[in-house]
Amino acid sequence: MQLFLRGIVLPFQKGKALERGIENLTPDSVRLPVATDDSVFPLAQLSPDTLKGQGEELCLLDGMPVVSTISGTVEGTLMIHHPLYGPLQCADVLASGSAESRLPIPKEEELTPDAIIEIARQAAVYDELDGIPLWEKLTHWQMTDEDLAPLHSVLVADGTANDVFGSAPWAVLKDQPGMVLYGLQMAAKAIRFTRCHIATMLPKKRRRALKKAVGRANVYIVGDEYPVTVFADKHMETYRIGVQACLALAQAIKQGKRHTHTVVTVAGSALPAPRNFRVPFGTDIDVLLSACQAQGGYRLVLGDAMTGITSEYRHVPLLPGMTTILAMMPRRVRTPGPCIGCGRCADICHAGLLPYEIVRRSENMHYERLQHLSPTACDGCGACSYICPAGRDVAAEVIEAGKTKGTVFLHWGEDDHE
Amino acid sequence: MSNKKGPYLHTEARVSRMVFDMILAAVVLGVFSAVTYGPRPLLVMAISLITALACETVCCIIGRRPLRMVLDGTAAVTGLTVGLLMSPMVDTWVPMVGTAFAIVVAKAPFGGTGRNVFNPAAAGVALLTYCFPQQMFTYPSIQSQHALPMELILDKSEVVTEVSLAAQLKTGAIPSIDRLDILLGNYTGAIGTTAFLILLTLTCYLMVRRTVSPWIVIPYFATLALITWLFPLSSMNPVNSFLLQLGSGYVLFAGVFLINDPVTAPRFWLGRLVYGVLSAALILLMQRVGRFEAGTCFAILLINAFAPIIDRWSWHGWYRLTHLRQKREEVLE
Repeated sequence: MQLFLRGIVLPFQKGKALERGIENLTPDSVRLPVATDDSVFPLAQLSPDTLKGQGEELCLLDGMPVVSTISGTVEGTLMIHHPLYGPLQCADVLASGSAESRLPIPKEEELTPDAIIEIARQAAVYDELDGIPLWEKLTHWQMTDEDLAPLHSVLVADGTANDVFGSAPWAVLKDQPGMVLYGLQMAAKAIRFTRCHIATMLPKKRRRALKKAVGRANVYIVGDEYPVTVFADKHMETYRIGVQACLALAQAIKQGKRHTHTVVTVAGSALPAPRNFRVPFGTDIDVLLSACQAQGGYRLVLGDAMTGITSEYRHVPLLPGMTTILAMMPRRVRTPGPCIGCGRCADICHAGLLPYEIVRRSENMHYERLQHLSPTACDGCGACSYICPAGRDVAAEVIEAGKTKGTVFLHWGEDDHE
Repeated sequence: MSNKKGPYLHTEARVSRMVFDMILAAVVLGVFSAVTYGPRPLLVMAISLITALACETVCCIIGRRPLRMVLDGTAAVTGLTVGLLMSPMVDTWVPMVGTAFAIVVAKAPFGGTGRNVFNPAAAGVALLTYCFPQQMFTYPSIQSQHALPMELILDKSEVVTEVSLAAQLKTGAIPSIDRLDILLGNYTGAIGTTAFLILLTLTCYLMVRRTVSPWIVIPYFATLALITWLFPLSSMNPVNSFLLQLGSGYVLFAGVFLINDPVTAPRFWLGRLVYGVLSAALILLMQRVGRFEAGTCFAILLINAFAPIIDRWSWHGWYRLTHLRQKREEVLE
């Protein structure tokens, strides 16, 4: 029993995550974002001919193509309000076959840092942690940390599966540990880091297997607290990329493959058992859920159980940055009570904030005091909402306070159209 | 399209669980007192509890708050706390006045549960101490084997009374009481304040259940020990002095119930530590130089007023300290 509360440990609900493999699934149709004239993203125009002729669709998400190996005919386009990416113009592609064009495979001596980043860009590798293109992240880090990087910084492949249900990173690490390590080393080379390791919180038995596969020095075991904030020894500056991004980079360099598939965990209290699928980007989430025999009446959550977003619309295409899909049975939501000041939210806040004080200030409209409490330092992990004995959604209120920061009056009426 | 954000998981910890713990602790203390004095202490507590719930209901109706807020249990804890601080032979209108003051004046006008600045129970008892010290500080003798009569207003002349430890200390006398007698609660006092070992056990139980914060309790008792060691009661053995000080008045009781009220205490760990230390010092000061034999409630009210500022300042200090390095780097850039 921990007397002084520091951080929280979430219940383990991954089921038999250790033995679970990855199932391949090819859908009948995919939905991929395309360019429109008034598109918010800097997208390129897509002509249906490209699709038919090449058997490979290139369209852009945030200035970067989302690649698919599915070839087929475009049934039409429709506007989708994607819960994570906002409104997207999507093309419905009815699959008739699959084709893949490979990138040229570079020689070992050609792999300069810039060349690796270029490969990541051409192969359209996305980081599954946040859906940002890997090359953008790497270029950014390469630029900012040129002088102080190597000694005190470490590049970490995040294989923690730091949420209650997700097990996709574990499955990937079990499947191809060598490739993940190679991709990680290449990414580290691209930003001229000498240190890199795979961070994971696997149970002991699997830890040993992983250490055997990739070498003891390349594995770092993190604590099982939520959220994981320490990915390396304390004095090290950490930079994080996803395990799947490492794998995709390795496959691009060694086999010339583009990043076309992602491994996603479909789980939740409404499903008989969680499963991992390897599916192409653009797959309809509804296909995955029906493959898992989801019963009706559940609530669809995109992302993990702590920070995910509920969506009533089920035909959402799977895009980079999504690794967990949950079908949760609706639980009884209690009416939130008043804050009684137990102070647990402050005890467990890994950013060292005072969530209750931020909420109180914002409720009492002391907006000018908010910035002294640094609400912008909140990363929305949701731990305070989890722990609150009064049942308040503290995290949402803190994020709201961080967004408005005393300019709440300027934002009035902004949400009216929804 | 509605996108609700928020965690889909929640801990089992609830406010109701914390309230249940406090009520359980109060009932245990009441039963201990009933063993000595007969069922009258339980009657006093029950009257106090019913008054608290009735007042809270009225306040909810007047303040147009939902009536289910009465059932959240915080009013019950206030009522029981006031009841525990009564003498077992008190007239039953006294706890009614105290509890009504606690709820109607010290709690409801500030906005009810979670918003009161001062601990309602402490405010109620402080009023009673100031207005009716005779009622508050006349205690039945522990030696008489007869149970107290159950009448609502006792005939005081029929009851053998005894001077409490705190009153003896106040007159400058040194009570002739054995160390073991203090530990076993073999002395007279208010209903909830004499069960020495039970109070200590309850403190540990509540700390393990996270209902009270160790950041307040441990500094509180540590400061008490330090002060009684530095300034013992007239050339006494420090251990005896410490036990006697804890047993006198509401000092030990305050460490479990009064200073741990989460609403009126700071919430940041450093603020809680400072709060624990300061409240111990103030309570001892009030106890030794104050006018009444039990000045604890005045000390609690005084420190409550400073709790928000202690909280804020300690957090700002700590945050600046820990984020100094980052800030320096930002400035350099």
